[in-house]
Amino acid sequence: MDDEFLIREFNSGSISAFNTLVWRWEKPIFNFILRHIGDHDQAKDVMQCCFIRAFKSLGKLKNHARFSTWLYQIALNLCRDELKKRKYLTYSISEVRDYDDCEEKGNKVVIADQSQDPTRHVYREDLAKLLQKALMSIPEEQRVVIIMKQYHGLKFTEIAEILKAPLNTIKSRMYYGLEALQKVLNSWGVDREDLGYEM
Amino acid sequence: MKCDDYRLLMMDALYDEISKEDRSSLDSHLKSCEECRAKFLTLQATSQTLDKWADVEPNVNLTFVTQPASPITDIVNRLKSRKIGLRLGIAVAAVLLLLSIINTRIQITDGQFAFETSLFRRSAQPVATESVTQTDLENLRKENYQMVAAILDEYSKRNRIETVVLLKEFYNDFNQRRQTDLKLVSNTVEQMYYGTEQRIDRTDRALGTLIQYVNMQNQSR
Repeated sequence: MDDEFLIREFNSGSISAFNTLVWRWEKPIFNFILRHIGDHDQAKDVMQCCFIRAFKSLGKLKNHARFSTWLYQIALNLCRDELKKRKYLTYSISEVRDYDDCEEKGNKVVIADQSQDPTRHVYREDLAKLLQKALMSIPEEQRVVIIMKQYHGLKFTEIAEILKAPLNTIKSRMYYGLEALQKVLNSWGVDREDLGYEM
Repeated sequence: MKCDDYRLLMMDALYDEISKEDRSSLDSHLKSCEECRAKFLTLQATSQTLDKWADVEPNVNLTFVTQPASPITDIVNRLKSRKIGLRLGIAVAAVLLLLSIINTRIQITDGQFAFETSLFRRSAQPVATESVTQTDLENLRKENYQMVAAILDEYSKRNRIETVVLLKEFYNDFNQRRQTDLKLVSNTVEQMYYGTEQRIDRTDRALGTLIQYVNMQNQSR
């Protein structure tokens, strides 16, 4: 059962078809929102709002093949509303030095080794927090492109459609976003070895 | 092409959205330009770093259910969905406009212009206004007084009836309780009587046995 079939079923009155769509899309949408706004509880609330909005207006969606981009569009709008609402301040590099689980040693941020592992690899939870902070520190227009491309595998053309921006602008945002992220991670002293790469 | 132009191609290459021609063009540039090659490797590394952040489960049980809609909601929804509401509104507005045009009256008397419009036809004869005299007021006051007096009288009667009923209820209740108490006392007295009688019997029997025993002892001596 593809999305288009489920949408047709939903439009014919099948609520379970919509629930299947929710079941199928809740994880990617939740992770998209979480990476965008950086707060787990708020991400849950925004995700619920997203599906409620989708439920109310799915009947109006004419091109069913565009369902995923349409859903991401709703999620993105809600994320932006949420960020506006709480006047979200992006983390500056100096703020990140106050990072709870880290302690500053010289200019290097050392991730607390919770598992007492002698190797100083960043662990999964720490890495998620670190990357979340790093993502939150770059401009929103770059962050959203990186999230859509890196974690949701959307094509550049699809991202351009969702963000209503020219294709080359999207690629450019991706480039500068990755570059900015790398600079942020370097400034925290996080190198590839910390992240568990075989050097 | 300049180095800056290859940035977009780097993005295409990084995410496998590059054509063969562009790929070979980029490869040849990366071979010749050390700076771009280093940049491309850094971007690749950053992308790999981001890949390490795995998705998490939302742990939200989000299920939609349908609620049976009320007939009014159903009608409203139908009106909304089929744009009948708009059509109905236009129709009602048209009818009201027609009525107001039909019932418009224009009068020109002695050079004076009078214009009157209403939705419904007004009666031709003006309603006669009645003058209220002092006598009418007096009558009205009397009527009010009588009405208030009647209300008070009714109220008083009802109070009396309610008091009598309450007294009767109290008497009946009291009587019932007295009878219950009397029965209880009577039962208790009866029980005491039987109890005492039984005890006397037992004592008599014990005394008889004792007398028999004493007699037997005397006889044996």
